[in-house]
Amino acid sequence: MSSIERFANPTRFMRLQKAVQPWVWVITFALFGVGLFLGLTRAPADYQQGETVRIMYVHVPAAWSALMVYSVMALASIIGIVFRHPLADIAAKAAAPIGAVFCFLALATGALWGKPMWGTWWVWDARLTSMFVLFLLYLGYMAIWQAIDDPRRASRIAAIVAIVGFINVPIVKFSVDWWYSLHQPASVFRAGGPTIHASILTPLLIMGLAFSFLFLALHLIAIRSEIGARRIRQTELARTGALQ
Amino acid sequence: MDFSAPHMGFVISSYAVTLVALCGLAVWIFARARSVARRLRQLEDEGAERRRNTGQGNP
Repeated sequence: MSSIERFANPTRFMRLQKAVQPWVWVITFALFGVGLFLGLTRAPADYQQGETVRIMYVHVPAAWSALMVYSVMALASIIGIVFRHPLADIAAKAAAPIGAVFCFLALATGALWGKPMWGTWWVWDARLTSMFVLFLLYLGYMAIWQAIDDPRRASRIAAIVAIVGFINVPIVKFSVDWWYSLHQPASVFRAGGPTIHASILTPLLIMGLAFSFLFLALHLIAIRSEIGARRIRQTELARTGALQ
Repeated sequence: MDFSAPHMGFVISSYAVTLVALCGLAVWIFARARSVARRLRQLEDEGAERRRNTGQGNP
């Protein structure tokens, strides 16, 4: 636990964040550049879906990232509850809006892909519904932080919601295997290995990495802001107390 | 990429929605970071001024 405590120190984090932030941005933009170039110009059109398959290079990474960010939130919440480390709560809180946007993008681009391929924007099947539930969990988590003034109480309740809500993550992942669904089954992260040709899989994985690094870049800034916001709150509370 | 292919409107819309949402998110996060940093600087300046006025500043 000592190494976690060493790096989870807010002041040390602020110094580390300042040093790594430019490099994280460089890697993020490079990955997006290469991923979009390969996905939009080098990868072939699908023999059945035609050019519509290119929606995959934003839809799938957005969906992966939405699940990853929620997992990060749940893990940070567990650390926050078990070790009572404030940086863990801050990390979970700062991740939520980013994950919510990724989840929204997965739903929106999924609808834009579904209309020409399935003939409908939306169906209440297992994969789509569980993804929508994930979006609601993100909104609920953020609403708790907004609704409760006391950060300690808010962090405890929000952490419980994040941990309990994590049960939805494997449901999203395996929904296409457990229930009949319009959505295609897993074709990348599956027991027998990917079923996609390398010419399509490579840009997809690069875009997945690009979304992950974008999350890291934005999350580092959001954590820094949240640490600052808490320092402002403490200073203002101390001043109010000193005046009374 | 063949821009004359069928359903290209859906493909372009997907990338446009993604671009707008991610840029909007980044702008919001940067704006919050700037406003927090500004307020922190303001509080530090006020604190330094108060210490000077009460004679509690560093020698």
